[in-house]
Amino acid sequence: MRGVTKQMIYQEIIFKNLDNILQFWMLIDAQEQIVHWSKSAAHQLGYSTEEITNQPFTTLLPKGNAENLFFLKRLKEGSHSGSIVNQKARFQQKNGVLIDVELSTQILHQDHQEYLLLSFDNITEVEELQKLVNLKMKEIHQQVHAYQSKDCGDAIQDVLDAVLVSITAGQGLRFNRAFLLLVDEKSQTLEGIQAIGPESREKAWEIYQELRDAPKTLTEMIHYCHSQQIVHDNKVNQLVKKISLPLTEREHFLIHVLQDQKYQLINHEFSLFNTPSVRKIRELFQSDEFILVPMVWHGYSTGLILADNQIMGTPITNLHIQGLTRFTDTATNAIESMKLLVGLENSLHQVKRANIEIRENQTQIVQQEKLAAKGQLVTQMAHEVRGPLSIIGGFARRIFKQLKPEENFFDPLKRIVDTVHTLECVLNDILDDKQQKVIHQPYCDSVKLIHQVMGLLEEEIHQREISVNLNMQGDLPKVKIQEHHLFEIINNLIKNAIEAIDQKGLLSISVKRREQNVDFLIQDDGPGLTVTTMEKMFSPFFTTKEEGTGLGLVVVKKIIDEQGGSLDVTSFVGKGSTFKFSFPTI
Amino acid sequence: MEIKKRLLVVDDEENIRELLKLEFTDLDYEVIVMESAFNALNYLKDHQIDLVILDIKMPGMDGIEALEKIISTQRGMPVVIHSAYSHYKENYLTWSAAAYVVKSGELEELINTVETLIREQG
Repeated sequence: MRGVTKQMIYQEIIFKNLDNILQFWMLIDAQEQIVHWSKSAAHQLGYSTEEITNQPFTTLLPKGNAENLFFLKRLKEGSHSGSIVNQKARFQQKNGVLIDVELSTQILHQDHQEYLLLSFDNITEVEELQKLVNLKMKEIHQQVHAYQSKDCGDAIQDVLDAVLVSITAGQGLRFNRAFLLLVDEKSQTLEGIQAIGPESREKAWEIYQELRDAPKTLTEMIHYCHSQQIVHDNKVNQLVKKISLPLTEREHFLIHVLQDQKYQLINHEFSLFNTPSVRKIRELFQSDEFILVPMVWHGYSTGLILADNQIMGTPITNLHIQGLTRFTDTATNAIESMKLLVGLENSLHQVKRANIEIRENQTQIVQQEKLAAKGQLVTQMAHEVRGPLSIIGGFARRIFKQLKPEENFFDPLKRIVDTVHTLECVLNDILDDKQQKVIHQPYCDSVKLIHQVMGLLEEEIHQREISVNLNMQGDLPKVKIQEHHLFEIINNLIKNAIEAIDQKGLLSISVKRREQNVDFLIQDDGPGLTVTTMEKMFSPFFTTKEEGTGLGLVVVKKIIDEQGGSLDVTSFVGKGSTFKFSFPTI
Repeated sequence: MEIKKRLLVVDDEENIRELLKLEFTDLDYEVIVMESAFNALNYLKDHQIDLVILDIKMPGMDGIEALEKIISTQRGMPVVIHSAYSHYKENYLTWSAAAYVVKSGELEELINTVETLIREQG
């Protein structure tokens, strides 16, 4: 008898505490009516116990689904030895809001009657967060595959928002405020990242009213919180950001809980309630009761979730704690997965960028090879030209020597002989043939050279209908530069100006003395030079012309530098360019 | 009457041959012109020549090969390389030539070189 009594006592203990063990449970009879259920289960679904007793179980299922009638039958069919564990399903609260649940059942027999014991957990937030994460994962996945370079940091932010919103505004957790602190691996600190919660009781009431009248899905809630500026700009957010603790500060209770990897309710009963570190946090958040749940990911402490009911002042119950710890697991997984994926995505971008750079370098190498080939061609051409040029020059000189200055062809032949001479010097410069035993005067007459170049280009200037404004000061002294060098400079710059103008424009040339220098100014009213062109125009083989060698300005610059002159370029897009160079006088 | 010095001009370019013939004839040389190295070598076998002006880039046998053959058969023959290319100067095979003159519209250098070499021969 004593044993029976003891058994009865034990059974009594279990039955009395059933609400604590199962929390959300109900007993359903063979007629599929709810005959008994726990207070918290009724509350979770928005009913009072009286309201629902003896009502059909289908009342709890989403309305209008023809399958509802077979729900329990199917459940029983699918059970093993009369039980089912953690099956996902959907219930509808009294106010019409759908919630995701995970339910377990056990068939019980008593007095030839069959009963079904059904317990459930509200996993709406977990489900919704998982859905959101899945969506974000898919977005990132698509971005990675579509080779887009969009910043994926947004995805993490969205998930953080979702976590905090779920804790405070969801169907099950319903804390007043939530704070998120994450471990920063680089700095080895615990950092306050983000928080959510109304600023005042009034604001809280307002939001509560609004949500009660029109319940929202998680995504809608996030939008709502953004619109109410609850997520990013509010006071609690500023509060949490004040927290930054080195992981080595083990005496701090936040670090302690983090590393202990067990949740901790902080209130008057907490042994360290009056220690400095707890007091500081209590003062910061103006809260005397809050729950701390460490975020643990594959054994590593990755952060802390802190939540409280400071606004309404309602106590934190076991239900709250159980819901939050379960949710934290999902939240941790979500956040860490997103971080991983975003990290991966970033690495992929770096690889892609590196790839692009390599490709660009390859293009550059190919380009350089092309240019080298072009350079060889130029050398080859110069050599090929030299032979025929020597013939022209040779015969011209033969005739020229026999002519007297007063004869008709004396002047034209002199021009041919002089120009051939200049061209041969240009060839020697291109081919870098310093060995040529040609004696050059170390100075020259700039006016004569300008006329010589203009004579050569006369035809082209005429054809392009370009007006020329030639402004040369009289009695200019000779300048310290060899004739063929100055020819090369002037010829290149004037030709460039003509090509810049293209058709119908104004070419201005001015030569003036300035103290011990002669300034040459060659100006066009063409399209002007872009910044990029200005930067590159003195690089070998850079050209904007279809048939240019890209050597003209390089030679000009080289000669001016070598011969002690100075060069200055100004250009305005749409207005034209001015090349100004100077050489000292003798 | 002094016997004219005999120059052999070898160049595949007709205009050069003509120009040099005119110029050196003016200077009282007897100028024989050949358009190929092969013909020039044949000619040299049984004719007396005082100096050869030799182009390098020619179809068939080029000037460098011809130079080698001339020097080996006509010991002491002054040969002046006359080319539009200056870089053959770096080629040691041209070093056995008496002079190397780059082609130019101004013939002074070539003329001076030839006259100097002829004078040295005595």
